[in-house]
Amino acid sequence: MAEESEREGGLLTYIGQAWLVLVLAVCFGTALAAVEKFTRPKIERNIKDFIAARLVEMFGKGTTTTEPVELDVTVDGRERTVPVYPAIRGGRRVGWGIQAEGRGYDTLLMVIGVDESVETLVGYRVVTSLETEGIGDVIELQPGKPASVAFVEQFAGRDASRPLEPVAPDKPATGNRVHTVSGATISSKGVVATINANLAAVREKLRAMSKEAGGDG
Amino acid sequence: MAEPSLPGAASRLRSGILDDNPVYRQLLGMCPTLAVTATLAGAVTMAGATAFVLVMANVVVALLRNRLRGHLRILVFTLTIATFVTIVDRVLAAYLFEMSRRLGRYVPLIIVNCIIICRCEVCASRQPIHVAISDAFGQAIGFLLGLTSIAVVREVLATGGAFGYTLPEAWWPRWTVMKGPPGAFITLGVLMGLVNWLSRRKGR
Repeated sequence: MAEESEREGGLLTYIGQAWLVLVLAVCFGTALAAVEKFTRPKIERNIKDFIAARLVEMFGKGTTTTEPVELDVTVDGRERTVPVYPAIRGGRRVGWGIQAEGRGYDTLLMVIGVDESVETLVGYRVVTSLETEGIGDVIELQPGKPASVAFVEQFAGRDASRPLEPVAPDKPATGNRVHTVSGATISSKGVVATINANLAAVREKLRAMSKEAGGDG
Repeated sequence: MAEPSLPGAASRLRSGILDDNPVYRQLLGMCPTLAVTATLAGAVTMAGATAFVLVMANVVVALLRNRLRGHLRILVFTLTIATFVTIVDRVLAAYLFEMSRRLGRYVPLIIVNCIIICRCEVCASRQPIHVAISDAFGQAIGFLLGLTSIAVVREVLATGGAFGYTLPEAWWPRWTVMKGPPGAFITLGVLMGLVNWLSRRKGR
């Protein structure tokens, strides 16, 4: 009995001490939810516009896109909805831009370009990343930095029907092997892992959609 | 509640800009000072984001100062700062997307910017709201001056211009080193030396 009253006293003391923190947590949480609701559509629109511009870089001038197709797939054992943007040129679908989430040194959001039948990788571009400036950011295409250009451009033309294999810069990058970057191994391997995981997840669904469209045509 | 020995609003505003400048005198907020001053636009945006968080955190803490418990005050400061940093991060991503991508990793890091938690502790938790607001504006202007002074030197030397307007390369050879971390350290060191020299001459 005495123990119970002591426990109740402890709880009351705790609430008495921490009530301000609890009230603030609720108020701030509500405020953040409101900000999220207000800004989310605008941020999503920015990401879509950004991806549309990257598709032009990867698939060539005159490429346009429409609203993404949302695929419910399992990526690395987790249920996810992956938005896939059709790359359209001359009124014909020439490929796909897969919006992929992954991890380098930190969270990574990128768009992976593949041809329509998901046989050939067209490239990839980083949408947002938190990689360290001057080190891990080599995975983002920066025209002034030869190391970044060499890393990003080596992905174009690789076989998209089987996984890429990261290898050290001193080994030959033949077949589906791609060079990692010394000093940014985690970031560069993160890009490869993200491409492999997302392609494995969406490959069959995209091929089925291509066949269906081909059959219709 | 205001302690009579503490400086007033005008004094707080003045000292934040010059005598207690966060960059050159307190050496606080060194991470953004070195990281985002490669361009003037990045420096101004970072200073603006930090100013918003500084002012809002000081306002909230000053309003709550009579209810703060000593051992929970840091928790309240952190909670408050983290909330306003998240707000500024989302707003930047919504309305200044390209800048948000460029500053990306450094905007969430405002949470651990010592200038803000220091002002909550030193001023906002002890003085009335009008003094806390003056203090926040003083520190924010001081931080803006610190960042922009470094950014002007780095961007002009690295590109021969600012805000995307540059001199032809034949007129001004690019000092590429000023874009990177060495340029940031060199500029900060030289400007800090200059500020110290000027201060000694004025007897401050």
